[in-house]
Amino acid sequence: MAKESGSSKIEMLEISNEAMAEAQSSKIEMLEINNEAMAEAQSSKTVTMKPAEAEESKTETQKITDEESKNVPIAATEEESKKLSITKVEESKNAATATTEGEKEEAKVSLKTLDGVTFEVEAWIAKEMETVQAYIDDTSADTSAAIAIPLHNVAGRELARMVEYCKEHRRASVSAGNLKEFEERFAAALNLYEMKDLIIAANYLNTKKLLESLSRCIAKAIKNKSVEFVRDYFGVTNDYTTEEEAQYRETNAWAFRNVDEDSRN
Amino acid sequence: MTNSNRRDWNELSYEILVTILMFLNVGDIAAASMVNKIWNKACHDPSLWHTLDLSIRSSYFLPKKGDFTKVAVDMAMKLWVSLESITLTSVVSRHDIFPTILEYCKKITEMKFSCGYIFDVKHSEAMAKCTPNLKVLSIRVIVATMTALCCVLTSLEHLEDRGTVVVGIRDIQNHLPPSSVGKLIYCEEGKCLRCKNGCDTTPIRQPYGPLRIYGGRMRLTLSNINLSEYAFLVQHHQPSH
Repeated sequence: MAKESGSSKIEMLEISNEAMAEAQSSKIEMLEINNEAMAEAQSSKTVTMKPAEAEESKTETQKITDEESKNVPIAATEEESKKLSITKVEESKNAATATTEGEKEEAKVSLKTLDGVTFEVEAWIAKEMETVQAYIDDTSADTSAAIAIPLHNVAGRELARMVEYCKEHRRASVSAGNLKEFEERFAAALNLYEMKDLIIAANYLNTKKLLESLSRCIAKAIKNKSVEFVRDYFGVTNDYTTEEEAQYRETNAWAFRNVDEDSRN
Repeated sequence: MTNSNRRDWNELSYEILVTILMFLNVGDIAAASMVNKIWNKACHDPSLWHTLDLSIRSSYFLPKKGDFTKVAVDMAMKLWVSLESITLTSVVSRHDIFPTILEYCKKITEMKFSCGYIFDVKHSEAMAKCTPNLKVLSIRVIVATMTALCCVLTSLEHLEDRGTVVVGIRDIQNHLPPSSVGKLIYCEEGKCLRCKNGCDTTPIRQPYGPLRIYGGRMRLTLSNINLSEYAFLVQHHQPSH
């Protein structure tokens, strides 16, 4: 029992800017779970799951119960109350922008990342991630609402950035100028290491708009640059022999007329 | 984008690499193909070559043979926005090309005009209107009317000294204002290479068909280096007949 509680997963009910900031700094605090929501979830599991899954359902229920009891004192504090207030504001905003017309609970999709963080995102955001949407389409609506979808190759930090991108992209797409400004600001905030991890995650989840935006940004960085610059920029190993490289360079000499002088070092 | 925490991108997948390369033009893809063998393989992916971005090139030559419709010419010109030099041959309708150039190719500064046998006022007016930035102009026709030539020389303000080449026109000095004569290259003494080759009937030297001799003497010009280079390429692009 002690080990189980130690390895228990952390769930996040709502993603807000503050929550994402906390996620990026690896500090995640539990938000109170609504009794009614839990009851309905339990009821749903009881009705739809097979016997084997029923056992898992019990285990999860116990975990949730334990965590709830722990959080009751914390929820009483003033700080926690403030966060709940922020959550409500964020929730109302999301409701305004949600594309689905179903119940609020059905408009949420749970995603569990590689490092054990569970995100609940709006259905339209999940739809942007075509890999996730394909998974949802392959399962029944009832079970997908109850179980978090596992994302084995995506870390919480990347998923938080992807969700942020989808939300801001929708806001900014009202005008082309705002959209371009947003994409430049979004990319400028990333270092090369973060850029690589994010583009890999976007490719895995098939989030086309983000994948194209990041690819364009990277392509822009290496345009008119020398071969040596590109190798150094990406930390890529050169596996050509000296003879091979000389031959290719001669064949493609026409391509180096536009190379920036300062990248020839 | 900062380079801090930069890390090895060797693990970047092939398909992501292809997605990035799709935003590069031909020259950058050729350079990227030399980064390493994985990049080289990605640069050969067929999806990269469905569309060619040829904007890195500054001059193109259209073949002499073959009929081009106006739609085809418009399509080509729309793609070659950064085109700087063009040779017009008779396969392109001599009137359709100029509005197209005006609309799509505003960077053209060099032109060789070889449409048919006559350079008249219609052509000079079209040039003055649609290609006002010309610096070098080569008129290689049998007959160029004096009015047309005068119009071109006075209207194209950017023509360089000795930047206009004319073949087959007589008594130039007597008909042009002095300020325009300096922009011309022409030959009166029949000693230049072109004059000596004027009577040569070798097909490769006669891209526009036989030249007629007026009054037993032909007035030809020497081209400058750039135009000679273009002429060389044109001759080699044309099939023998």
